[in-house]
Amino acid sequence: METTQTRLNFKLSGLSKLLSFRPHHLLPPRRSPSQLAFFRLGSVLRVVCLVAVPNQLILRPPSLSSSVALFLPHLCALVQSGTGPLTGPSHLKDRKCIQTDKNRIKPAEVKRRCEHHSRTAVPPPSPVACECEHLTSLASFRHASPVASLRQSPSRASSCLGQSPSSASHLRLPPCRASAIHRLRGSTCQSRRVVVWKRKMHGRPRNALKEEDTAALSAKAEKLRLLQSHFLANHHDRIYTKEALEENAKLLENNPEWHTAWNYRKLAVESFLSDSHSDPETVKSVLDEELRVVENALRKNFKSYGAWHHRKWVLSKGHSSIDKELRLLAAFQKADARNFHAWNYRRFVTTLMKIPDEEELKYTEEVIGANFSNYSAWHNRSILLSNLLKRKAEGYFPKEIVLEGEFELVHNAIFTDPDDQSGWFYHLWLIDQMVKIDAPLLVSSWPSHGLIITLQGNNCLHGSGLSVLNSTLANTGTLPIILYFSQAVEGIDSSTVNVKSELLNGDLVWKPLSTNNSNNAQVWVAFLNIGNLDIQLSKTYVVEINLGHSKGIVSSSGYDYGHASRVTFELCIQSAYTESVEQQDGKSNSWKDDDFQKFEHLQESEPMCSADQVTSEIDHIPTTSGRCEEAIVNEISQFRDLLSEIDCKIGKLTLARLLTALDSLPSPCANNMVHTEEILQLYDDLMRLDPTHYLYYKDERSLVLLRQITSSRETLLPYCYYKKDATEAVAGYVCLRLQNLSLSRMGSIENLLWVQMLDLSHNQLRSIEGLEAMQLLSCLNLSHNKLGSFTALGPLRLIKSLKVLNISYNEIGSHTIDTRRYLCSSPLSHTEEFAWDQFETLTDSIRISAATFWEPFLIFQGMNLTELDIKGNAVADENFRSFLVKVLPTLKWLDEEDLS
Amino acid sequence: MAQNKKRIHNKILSQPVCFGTKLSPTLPHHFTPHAADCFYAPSFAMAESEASSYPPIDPTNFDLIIVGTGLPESILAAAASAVGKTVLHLDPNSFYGSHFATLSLTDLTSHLNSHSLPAPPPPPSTSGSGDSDYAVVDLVQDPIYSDIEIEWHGSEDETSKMREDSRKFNIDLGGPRALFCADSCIDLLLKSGAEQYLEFKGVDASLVYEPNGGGLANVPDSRGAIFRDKNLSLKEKNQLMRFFKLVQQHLGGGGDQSDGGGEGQKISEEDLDSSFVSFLDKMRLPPKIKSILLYAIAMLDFDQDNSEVCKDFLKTKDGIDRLALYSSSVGRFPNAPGALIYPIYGEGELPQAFCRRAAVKGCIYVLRMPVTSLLMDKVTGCYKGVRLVSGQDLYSHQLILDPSFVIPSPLSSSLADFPREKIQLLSQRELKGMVARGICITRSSIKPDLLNCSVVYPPRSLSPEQVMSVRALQIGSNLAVCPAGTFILYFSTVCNDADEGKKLLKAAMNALLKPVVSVNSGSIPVVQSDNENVQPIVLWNAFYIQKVFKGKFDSMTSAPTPDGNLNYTDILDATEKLFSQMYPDQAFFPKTETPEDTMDENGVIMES
Repeated sequence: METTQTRLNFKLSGLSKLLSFRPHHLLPPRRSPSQLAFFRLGSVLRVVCLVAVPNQLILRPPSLSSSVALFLPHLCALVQSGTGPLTGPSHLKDRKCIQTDKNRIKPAEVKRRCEHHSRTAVPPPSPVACECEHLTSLASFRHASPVASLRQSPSRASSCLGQSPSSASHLRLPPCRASAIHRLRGSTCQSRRVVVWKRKMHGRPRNALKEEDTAALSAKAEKLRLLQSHFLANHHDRIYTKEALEENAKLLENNPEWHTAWNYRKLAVESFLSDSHSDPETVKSVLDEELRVVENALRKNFKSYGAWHHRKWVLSKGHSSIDKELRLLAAFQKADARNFHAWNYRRFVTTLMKIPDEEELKYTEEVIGANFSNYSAWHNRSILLSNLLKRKAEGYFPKEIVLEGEFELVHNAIFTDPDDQSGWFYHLWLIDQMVKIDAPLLVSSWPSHGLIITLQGNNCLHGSGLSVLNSTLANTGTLPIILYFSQAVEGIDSSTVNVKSELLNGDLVWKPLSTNNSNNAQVWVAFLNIGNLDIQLSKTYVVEINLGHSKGIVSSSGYDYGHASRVTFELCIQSAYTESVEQQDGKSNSWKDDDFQKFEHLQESEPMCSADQVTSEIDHIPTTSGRCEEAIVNEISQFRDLLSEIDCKIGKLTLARLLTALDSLPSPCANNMVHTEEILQLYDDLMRLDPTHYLYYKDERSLVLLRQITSSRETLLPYCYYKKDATEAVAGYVCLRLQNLSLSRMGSIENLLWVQMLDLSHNQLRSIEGLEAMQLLSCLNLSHNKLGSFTALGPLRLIKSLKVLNISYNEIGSHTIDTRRYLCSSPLSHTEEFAWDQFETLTDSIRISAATFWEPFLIFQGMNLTELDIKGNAVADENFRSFLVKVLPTLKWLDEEDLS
Repeated sequence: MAQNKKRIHNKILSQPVCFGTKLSPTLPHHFTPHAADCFYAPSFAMAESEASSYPPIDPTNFDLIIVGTGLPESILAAAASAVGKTVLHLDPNSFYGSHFATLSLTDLTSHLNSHSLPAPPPPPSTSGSGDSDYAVVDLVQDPIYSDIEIEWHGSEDETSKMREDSRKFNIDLGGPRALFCADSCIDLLLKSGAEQYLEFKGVDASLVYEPNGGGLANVPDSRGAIFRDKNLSLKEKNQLMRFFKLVQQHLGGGGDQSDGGGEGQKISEEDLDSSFVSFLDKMRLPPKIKSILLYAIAMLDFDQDNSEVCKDFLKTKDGIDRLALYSSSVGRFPNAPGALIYPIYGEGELPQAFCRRAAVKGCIYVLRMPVTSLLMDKVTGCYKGVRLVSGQDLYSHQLILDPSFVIPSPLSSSLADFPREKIQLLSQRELKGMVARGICITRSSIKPDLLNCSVVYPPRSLSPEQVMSVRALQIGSNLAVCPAGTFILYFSTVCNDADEGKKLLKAAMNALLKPVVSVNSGSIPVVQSDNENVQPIVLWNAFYIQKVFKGKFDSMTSAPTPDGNLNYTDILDATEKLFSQMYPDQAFFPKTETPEDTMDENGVIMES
C-alpha cells in the first residue's frame, strides 16, 4: 500500500507543478462525489483516484493523459458506504460492429440488434463491473470467484454514471434510439419489438438479475473456483506442464483480470526458454500460444490491463511475428475507437514495426474524421506531432506552419460541436505548443540587475529607503541571492552559476526552494556571507552573476538553459557591522490600517521592482516569432466570432487564456496588459455561469490580477505603504498590502522578491504556494483567508527570515479531511524528515495527541517566529497554544499576548 | 456463378409458372427480370393466339385476386396471405415488379416502348360464352409512360458491346429510388420477413449540387460530415450543428434526465405549425444551409421560397420529422456510410421478396397471364371475378389491379343494361402528377472514387427559373446492376408538363456529364476546363415521363404507381391504407413468433 501511495505522490507532485492545477480544485466544497472515480494504474489495482476537475479546465498537456490524483480518504468513505458512483473506461458495446463481408447490409441484423437490446435482462459482464469488482472486493478476491463477488458488489447497481454529454449529443444515434424517434414520429406500424430506451450508460438499461441467471452464475463461479485452486496449487509448486498451462489459459480466458495468473504464465515461459533455447521453432510455438491466450482473453475483456501487458511482454521477446498485430488492433479499434488500451498498444506496435509517425498521423486523421470526439486519437496526434516537431522532420518545420494547420483542423471540431471537450483539449495543447519556450530562462532575481544596496551600521539594508526589519542579514550577516527561473530546473551550483565579487569567500552554496525536497526547483537561493568579512566602509562592491555559459542547467523536461544571462548589483556598507539590536520595543506588530501610510509620490529610489524593470534589465529574453503573435491574434478573433454566435463557457475560458497568452508574449511593441480588464470580466462571467468550477476561475482571476498589479511601478505603487511607527532612524518600513482583492492564489512572485512585509489579509487564499521564493519576507499577514490546514503553510518553512506571522481567522482545523495532505510532501510518504524524537518528548511532556499535532509540529518546528497570531481558527484552543509555545521557543507574542 | 445458376433456373421456368401452397421457402425460386430472356414484350395479341397453352388454374375461387406484381400489389399479396386469405397473384408480364421492376437494357427499352403505345383495340368480348349471371367488362392497359427518348451515344464498338452485355444491366423502371436506413420500409421488411431474401449496400455519399460552378459537395448530414466538410465556414458549421442539436433536443427532450443545460428547449407549438422555411429563417440560417436542409435532407420537391409554384409547403413539424428520419438513418447500420441504402440487383428485388413471402404463405403465382375482362354482377354492378386470357373465369371477393389497367370508355354494346355510373366510377383514376425520369449509362463516376452516390439539385441551382429540385442516384457495379466499369445514373423530377421536366433533367445531366455532342467535334468550348477532364461521358440515355396515380379503394382496388420521391414511404403508407380498407379487422403483417435467433452475446469479431 505504501509503495503505491508513494509512487503516486511523487507523480502527482510533479503533475501539480506542471499542470498548474491547485490541489483544492480537486474538491471544491460543493462538488458532489460523482467526480470521484476509481482507476487502476498499471498493474496496481488498489489505487483510488479523483478525476481531476472535468477535463477542460485543467491546463493539461495531452501527454499527461493519466492526470489523476490520489484521493484516499474519499475512497474509504465511498467504499464503506458503497454509494459512490464508479466510473471506468467506457464500454461501448453498442458500437460493436456486426461485420458482414464486403459491407453488405442485411436488415435482419438491425432486427437482431434491436431485439438484443430489448432483452438485456442479463447484461454481459462489462469491464466497468470488473473494475468495480477489483476495488470493492479485493480482499475477497482470492476466496470468492470473481463472478460471484461481482454480483455482491454494492456499487454495481450505481455504476452507471451519466454518459458524457459529448457522446450523448451525437447526431449518430444508436439503433434503439433511432427507433425511439420513430415512435415519436408516430410511425403507424405497430412496433414488433419493444424498444427500451432509457438514458442510462450507453443506452443500456440495467435490470435486476433473474433467479435462473443467479443460479447459472453460481454454477459458473463454482467451476472457476475449481480452476483457481488448481492453478494456485500449480503456481505454488511451480508446475509448468502443458496441462497446467491449459488450465491456466482457461482461467484467464474467463477472467483476464487476474495478474497472478498472467505472471504465472510469464514464469512458465521463462522457465521453458531457459530449458530449451536450442530450437527456435518450439520457442516460437510457445510464444504463439501465449499470443493466442491473450487474444482470447481480450475477446472476453478488451480493456484488460494484464492481457495487453502480457502481449507486450511476449512481443518484446522478439521471437514472434508482429504482422498480425495491426489487424488485431484494427478489430479492437473498430469495436471501440476510443479504447486507450488499444491506442497505447498501437504506439508500442508501430514503434516496433518502425511505422513512420507521418503514417500514423494520417491514421489519426481518419479516425478523427469518423468521429472527432475521440480523446485517444487527438492525444495520439499530439504525441506524434511532438515527435515530428522535435526532430524537425521534413514537412514539419517551422513549427508555426504545422501548428496553423492543426489549428484549422481543430477549429472544425470546436465549431461543429462546442460542447465536445476533446477538441478543446487539443486546442489547449496547441496554444501551449505555440507560446511555450522550451528552454528555461532566468525570469528575475534578487538583488535585481543594477540594484545598488546600501547597508548602514544598524544593519538595515538602506537600499534607497529599504529597511530590513528582521532580515537574515541582521541575524546572520548573510545576504540572500535569489534566482527565479521560468520553469523548474536542476543543476544550479558553483560550476554553472559563476559569481564574481570581492565579497566572495569561497563558493556559494545554491539551494533549491522546493517544498518536496526534490532537486528540481523554479527558485534557487544562495546566501552571501558578509558578516565575517573585513569590509571597507563606504566602498562599493560589485557582485556579478553569470549563468548559462556552461552546460548543466537543465529543465525538468530535459531542455538546457537557453541564453547566457548576467546579473550585476552593487553593495555598499556605510558603517561597521555591529551586533543586531534586539526587538525594538515591547509592542507587537500591528496590521491595523491606521498604522500604514500610503506612498505619496513616486521616487526613483524606492525599492519596488516590477515586471517592467525585471524583464528589461535581465538579459534579453528571446522573443517568439511574430508569426506566433499573429496566430494568437487570429485565434482570438475566431473565438470572439464563436462567442458572438453562442454563449459557451469553454469558449470564454479559451478566449481568456488566449488574451492572457497574448498579453504575456514578450512582444517588441510591448503593450502588455491591455486586455486585463477584459480577461477579468471574462473570469467574472465564468464564475457566475459555471459555479462548479468557481475556484478554478477564481485562481486564474487572481493570477491575472496579480500580474497586472505587478506589471509596472505605477500599478504597484497604490499597494505600497509605509509603516508609521518609524521609531527607528531609518525611513518607515515598506509594506505591500494586497488586501481585499479576493485573491485565492498567489502569483507573479517573480516580481515581488524584494518584499519584506506582506499583507494578504481579507482574501480567499487556500494555499500560499510559491511564497517560498520571497526569501526576504519577515512579516506576513494571512489573516481572514481560507487556509484549511497547516499543510497549506508548508512554503513558510523555507522562509528562514520570517519573524511575524498572522494566520488568525482562517479555517485551520475546521475540515476533518485535509485535501492537501496527499498532494504535498509529508512524512507519511517518506518525503519529509521528521524529528520523531523531539516530537515524542514533546507529546509526552504536554500530553497531547500525536495524531492531531504532528502536522503543526512539522510546520512550526525549526521556524524562528517571534510573533504569531492564530486566533479565530478552530484548532486554536488553550491546549494548542501551550503546544505552540513549546514548539516555538523564540516566540514572544502569541495572539497579541506578551509571553515574556 | 450466381448469375449462371439463375440463368439455368430461368430456362426451366420459361413456361407460364404456377406454384402454390406446397412451395417450401427453401426452394430456390429466385426470379430475376431475366426470366424474360426469350420473351420480348408479350403482347396481348400473342397471348390471345396461345390461349390454349395456358394451364388452367385450380381452385377458381379466391378471397383476393391481384393483377400486377408492383411493390404495393406484392406487399398486399404478402399481407393478405399472412392473415390467411387465399390469394391469386397474376401478372401479364413475364417478370415481377410491374412499374417497380428492374430490367435488362433491351427489356427496358422494349417495355417502355410497348407501354407508351396507346392501348390496342380491346379483344372481342366473349360475353356470350359465359353464363349470363355476370356482365363481362373488358380491361385494357392504359400506358403510364410517354415521351420516351432513348439514345445511344457511344461509339459503334461500345454500343455493340453494351447490347451484348444487355443482360448484365439491371435497370430500375422507377428510379432513382433508395431506402433510408431508418425508413419505414426497413421496418416493413423486417415485420414481413421479406428481409431474408434481400441484401443491401450503403450509398456511399449524399451530394448536393452547388450552383455557380460549385460542383458537387457532400451533404453535411451528421456531426462527422459537418466536421469534415470543406465548403462550410466555421460559423456555418456551428449554426448547422446547433440547428441539428435543437431538433434532436426537441425530439428526444422528453426524458427527465438533463445532461448539461439546454433542457426543455422544445420548439414552440407556434413554430411547429408555421412553415418550415420560415422557421429556418427565424433560426437565422444562411441560404446555403437552408437549401441543404430543405432539399437535400428534407427532400422537398418545390422551391419553398416561391409561394406561387410551391405545391408541397412543409410545416416545421413535418420538416423536423424528415430531419429525424435522415439523421437516424445515418449510422444505423455500421457498414452503411450514409443515410441511404440500395438493394443489390436493383429495386425489382423488393416486390420479388414480398412475392416470395406471399408464396410461402400460400399465395398462388401465375406470371404471363393477362386478364382480359372483369366479371360484374349484372344487377348490382359489383365485382365478381376476372376472365383470363385463357378464357378461364376466376372468382374472388376482391380484386387489386395494376394502376395501368382501365376500363375503356366506350363500353361494348352488350353491356347496355349495365349500371353505367358504376362503370364510370370504376374507370376513374386519380392522376396525381407527372414525374420525368432519366437514365444514363456512363463509363466513369460523377465523383472520382465514389461508386454509389445520391445527388440533389436544389431549386435555382441549375438555372434561376428552376422551381423543382432534381434528384439523381448513381449506382455502380458493386451493386450488381451493371458490368464493371460502368455506372447507371438515374434522374427524376416532378413536373407539370413533359417538356419542362425533360429539359430540367437534361440540364441536370449536362451539369455533371459531358454534354452530348457528336463524336466528331474535337474541341468543345468549356467553362470549367479543369472539371472537363473528369466529367463522365454518356454512353446511353433514356428519358421518359411517367404519370403518377394514387391508389384507390373500391370493389376493384387500384394500387399506386411509383411516385416522385426518393424513398418508398408514401407508397407504403398508401398501401397500408388500402389494406386496412380492404380488411379493416386484420393486422397488417401480424406479429408472429419467429424462432429466437441465436446471436453470440459478446466478444469482438476478429479475423484470425
